[in-house]
Amino acid sequence: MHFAFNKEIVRSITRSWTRFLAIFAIVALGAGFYAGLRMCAPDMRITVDHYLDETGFFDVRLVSTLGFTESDVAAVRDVAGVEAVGTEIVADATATVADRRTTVRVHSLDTTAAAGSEVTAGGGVASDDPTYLNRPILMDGRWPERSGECVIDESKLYANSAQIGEQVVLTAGVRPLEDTFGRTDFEIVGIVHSSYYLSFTRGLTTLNDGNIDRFIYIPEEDFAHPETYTDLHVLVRGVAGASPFDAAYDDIVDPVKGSLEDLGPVRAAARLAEVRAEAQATLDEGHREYADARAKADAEFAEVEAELADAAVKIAAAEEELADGQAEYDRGVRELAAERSALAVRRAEAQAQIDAGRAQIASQQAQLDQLAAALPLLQAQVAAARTAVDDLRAAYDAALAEEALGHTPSPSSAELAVSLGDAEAQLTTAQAEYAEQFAAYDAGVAGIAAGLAQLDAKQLELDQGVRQAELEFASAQRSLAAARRALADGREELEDGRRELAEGRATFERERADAEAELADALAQLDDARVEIDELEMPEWFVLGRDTNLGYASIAGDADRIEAISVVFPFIFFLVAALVALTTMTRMVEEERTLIGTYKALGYGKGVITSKYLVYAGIASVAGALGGILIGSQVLPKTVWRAYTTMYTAPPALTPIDVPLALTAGVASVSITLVATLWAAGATLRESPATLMLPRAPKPGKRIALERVRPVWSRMSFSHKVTARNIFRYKKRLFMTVIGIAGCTALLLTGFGLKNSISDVLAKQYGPIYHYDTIIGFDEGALDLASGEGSLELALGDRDDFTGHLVIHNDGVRLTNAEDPAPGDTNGIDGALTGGKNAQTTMMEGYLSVPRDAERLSGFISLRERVGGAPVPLTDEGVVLTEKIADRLGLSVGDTIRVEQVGLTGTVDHEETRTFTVAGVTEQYVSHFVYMTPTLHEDAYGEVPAYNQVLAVSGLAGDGDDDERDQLSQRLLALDGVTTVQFTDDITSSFDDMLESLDSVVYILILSAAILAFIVLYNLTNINVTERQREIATIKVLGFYDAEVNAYIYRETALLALLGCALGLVLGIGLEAFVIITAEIDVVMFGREIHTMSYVYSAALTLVFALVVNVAMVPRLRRVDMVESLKSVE
Amino acid sequence: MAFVRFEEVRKVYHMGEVEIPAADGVTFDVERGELAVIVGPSGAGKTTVLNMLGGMDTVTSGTIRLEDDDVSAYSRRRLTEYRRYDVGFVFQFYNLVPNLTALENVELAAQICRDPLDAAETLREVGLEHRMDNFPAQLSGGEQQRVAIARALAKNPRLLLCDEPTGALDDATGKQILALLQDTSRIGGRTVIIITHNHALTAMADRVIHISSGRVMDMRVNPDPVSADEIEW
Ligand SMILES: Nc1ncnc2c1ncn2[C@@H]1O[C@H](COP(=O)(O)OP(=O)(O)OP(=O)(O)O)[C@@H](O)[C@H]1O
Ligand SMILES: [Mg+2]
Repeated sequence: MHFAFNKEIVRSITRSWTRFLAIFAIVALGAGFYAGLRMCAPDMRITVDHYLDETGFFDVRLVSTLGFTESDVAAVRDVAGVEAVGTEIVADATATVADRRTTVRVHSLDTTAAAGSEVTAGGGVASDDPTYLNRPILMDGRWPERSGECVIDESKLYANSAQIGEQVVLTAGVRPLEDTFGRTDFEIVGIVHSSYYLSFTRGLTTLNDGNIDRFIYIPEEDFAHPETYTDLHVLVRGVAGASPFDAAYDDIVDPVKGSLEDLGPVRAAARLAEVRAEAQATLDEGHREYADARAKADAEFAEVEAELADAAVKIAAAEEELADGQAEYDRGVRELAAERSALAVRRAEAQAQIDAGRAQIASQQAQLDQLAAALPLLQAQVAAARTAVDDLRAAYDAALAEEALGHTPSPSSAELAVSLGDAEAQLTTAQAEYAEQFAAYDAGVAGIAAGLAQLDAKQLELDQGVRQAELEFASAQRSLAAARRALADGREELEDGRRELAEGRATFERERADAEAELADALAQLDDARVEIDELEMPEWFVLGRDTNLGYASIAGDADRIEAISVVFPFIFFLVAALVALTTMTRMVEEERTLIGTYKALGYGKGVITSKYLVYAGIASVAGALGGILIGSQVLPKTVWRAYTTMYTAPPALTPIDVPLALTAGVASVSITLVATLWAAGATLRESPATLMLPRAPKPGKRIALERVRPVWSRMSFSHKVTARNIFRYKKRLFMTVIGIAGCTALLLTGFGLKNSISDVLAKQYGPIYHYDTIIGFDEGALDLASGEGSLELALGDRDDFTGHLVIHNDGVRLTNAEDPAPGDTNGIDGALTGGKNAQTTMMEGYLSVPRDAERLSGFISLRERVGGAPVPLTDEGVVLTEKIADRLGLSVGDTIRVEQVGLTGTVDHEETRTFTVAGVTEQYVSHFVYMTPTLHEDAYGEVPAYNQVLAVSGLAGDGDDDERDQLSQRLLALDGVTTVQFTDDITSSFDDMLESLDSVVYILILSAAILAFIVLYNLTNINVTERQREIATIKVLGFYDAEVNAYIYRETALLALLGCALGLVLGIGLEAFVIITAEIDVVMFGREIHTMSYVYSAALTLVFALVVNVAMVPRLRRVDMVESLKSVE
Repeated sequence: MAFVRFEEVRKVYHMGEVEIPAADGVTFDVERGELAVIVGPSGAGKTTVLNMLGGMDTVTSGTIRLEDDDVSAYSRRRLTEYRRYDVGFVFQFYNLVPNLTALENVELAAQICRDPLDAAETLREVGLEHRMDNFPAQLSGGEQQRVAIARALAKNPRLLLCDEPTGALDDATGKQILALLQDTSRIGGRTVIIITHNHALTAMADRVIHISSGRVMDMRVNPDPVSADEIEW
């Protein structure tokens, strides 16, 4: 080409750099956005692929129901296409990690290989050991070196909850811990990441709430059976170059998978035989052991029995002896008694004699006494006689005297003398009698005395004899007492012995019973073992691809989602780019009309002249495309990846430029521009040089349709009419501006709406839907076990901590539409719920939720329709689904849902599969639930559910008082059966991080929208100003003030901006909805509502952009020089 | 006191190092109601002079007076008002707003004035009563120029300035336009200044000012101006 011509091109760029810039920028934006967005998904895949390669991620994972042995490993290694085989033991357990009950998946670690591995620059792990696969990455600390050490994952959900030096204690397993683990306590020595766990959700298990919280790696030796592996990981030869997301990868891996699937039954049979033989051996050994134990026990029993018999004999002898002693004693007692009675008899006799003697004496005495008593009588008689004598004597004497005197006394003296004689005789008789009597008395007294003495002697003798005998008796009594004591002692001894014997026997009986029971148990176990052996099924090999890995599958899904979005977005930019190029180049060609005419006149061909514009537009667009692609392909994938990786543990994005995509972006954007240029130049170039040299007939003014609407038109102000006509005169510009501004507003609305939708997830979930703020998890059955006083229920009810609580059952289930075929369970391991490649039927992971008190549910969870908010009742008629389940499975009220219980390692227990009628659909954002009443549960499953959670309202939420909540948590955990206490606030704050990372996406959208608006508006204004320079100059000459001049031009821009803005709001609703629905991750439902303020912000920002451009263009309008502009026709 | 007075007006353009004195001490007067013709060769500085007088350009030095007002001392804002209320301008290339009908083009000017003439009436006066609703592109050059004149007149300006009003027109049409302008001065009593490089026009002028190389070479009053129709090109 000609030198001058080239120079002219260069000059036309430098002279009109704003125009150049407009094309450059819009192409940069379009190409950059296209390339960047389209590269997001590939970059995600590349990043993941690289990360997986670098960490030795498996191509095929083998899981067997009976585990694998070295011979299995060898067999797998021999399969064609297998590059390396890694072995692993994996088991789930409930553990206490740093005082928090946690469900962990425990992996075995090859400590030697781990110690020898090295973190690579790319964030992977290199190892010399080809069998060291799924290599974890040590982030902190060191690798386990000895038994009892472990490394644990870095968990964003349980941030800071496990530090190096803390303990992990396994407390329960799927099977008894000792069957699986060699030990249960481990010290954390390091923190790891693992490509095996890309996503924060670690997978499913049968333990606890069904979710694995964390994973740990322990030395292989700390498993009980380090020689039996649960998982084999296979690297396939020749996949290094192929992306696992491509069909090429499947082409390489599928045959190997096929071979392994074929190998499965073969090895399975061998393995079965092996296991059976092993089990049989164990069983035989068990039987032997049992026999031994039996014999030993029997011998022991016999021995003890003999000992006991011996003791019994001894006791019998002792008994006899004791009886003899007793007899002797009894005899002694009898003899003594006899003697005593004999003595008594004798004594009595003697005493009787004595007494008789005494009696005799007494009678003698009495006689004597009579005598004695008679004596005075006699004496008196004597005395009387004496007196009578005396008297008679006296009377006689007197009578004698008288007589003597002569008297004849009557009684005469004679007579008296006779009487005296008589009296004297009588006296003598009396005296004699007295004397006789007295003598007799004396003799009696003497006799008595003698008798008494004799008696006293006898009495003495008797008393002495008795005393003697008493003494003898006492001694005999003493010896008898001694004998009795001895006997008592002996008896006691005997009792003791007897008791001992009885005890010994009882103990023996008990022990024997125990031993027998034990033996019986052992026997039963052996029988069980035999049954087990008999029932041993052919082990099944599950040959699993990468798509069954939860993290991998969900990233793959995310990449697909992004890809879907990336197809739609750039369309706006390309469309606007085309319109910008078209208007700009049209303007340029028009401006250079005369020049073109001159060139033509000078003899330049059409092609050459066109080439000028093509070159011009080409340079601008190629430069723009390059710049845009370079920036876009870096910024967009990184931002999107960062937003997504809040949910993954993954390295920073790799953003190599995808050449085909970059070329597509470049070629598309450049060719759009060039086509627009050709179109723009075409019409003008067809004109003859002569007409070109003439000033172009101004584009004829036209009446617009609006003018025919007289009532409107006639009411419009004059300058509004001008604006209206102008708008409709330049249709290209109209479209460019309206579409551009609409795009801008739509992007803004999408950005803000995205933020709304995602922040609504929690705002709505924990606002109008969930009213509880605390979830208390407890052991299944704890509620029932502890019923009565001091039960968990009462403990919770009594607390002032809560204003209310609701007992509920929550359990992980797999959900499908009952009309779809039941999904198989081979794809069920781990990846079951991700809907991997094999899935024919759409499946969803969810929870079966049964409130014990369905009427009170609304105080804790509001079931309501999202649109309108009408409450959804929970009745015995059917289940209430959360919205996304209904959406994804295509279910509505009256349809039937299939609920499958997820069993061991994600497989499905078909016995427990039920179908339910859908009675309602409720608004829900986080996780998915199938609500049912206890009655319905009982009807379906035959039992009330095992309640395992309490939803409670503490009122502590939202006030951010961590201390108070910690204390509450401590108090609750101290209750029997309580295992976890979770505050919804914690969930909320962990979600906030995710929201924050989304900000970058929103910023990018705002920035792009701003750029779009600026380019379009600047371009429009620029074109308007340059093209209508004469018009502007004219009205300036006519005396329009600056403000009037601005208004004259900007009214149009403003109107177009408003139009675009309105259109953009409508488009934005659709775009946002598309992005939200496409980008939505499985576990949540994003909000479906764009907030009013977002419309306001989007519109306001758009108008602010428009204002900024207009303000920026004001100086340009001012600079329009009347003199220059009007000098001549260009 | 003259209606329009130029006193030693200089306008110097700077083209890099070079100074181009487009007007190099221009001095002349025009009396009220006169039809003055400024004539001179191409590049003489005629347009420069008219632009300065029309308030579209500023002087480098010297003074321009319209009656008692010192136009050369006006601020930007005052200049705008001056153009708005005091001056009507007719361009060589009409400079009609292409998107407005003939009537609307006139209204465009009239609507901003304090004491405008009726737009339709003005158009009728210039003989375009039948073309009022036509867009400029639908009008011939002469018709367009008449619209332009109507637009200038409708503002009811103190001064009507025309830069080569016939430059793009054929003779016959040119004459019609000139006649219109002459009538504006004669009948309307308006002061009209016409620029041309065509000496033939001097015959119809009340006053002829010769400009060459930015200086007034000659200024004389034509005691006997002929009618525009009689001009010989
Ligand atoms: N903006 C400008 N910059 C530099 N020089 C200029 C500018 N405008 C005019 N000139 C110069 O000033 C001189 C006078 O120009 P002007 O346009 O006034 O001439 P004119 O008499 O109107 O000529 P014509 O009859 O060709 O229109 C010319 O030499 C021109 O080159
Ligand atoms: Mg000129």
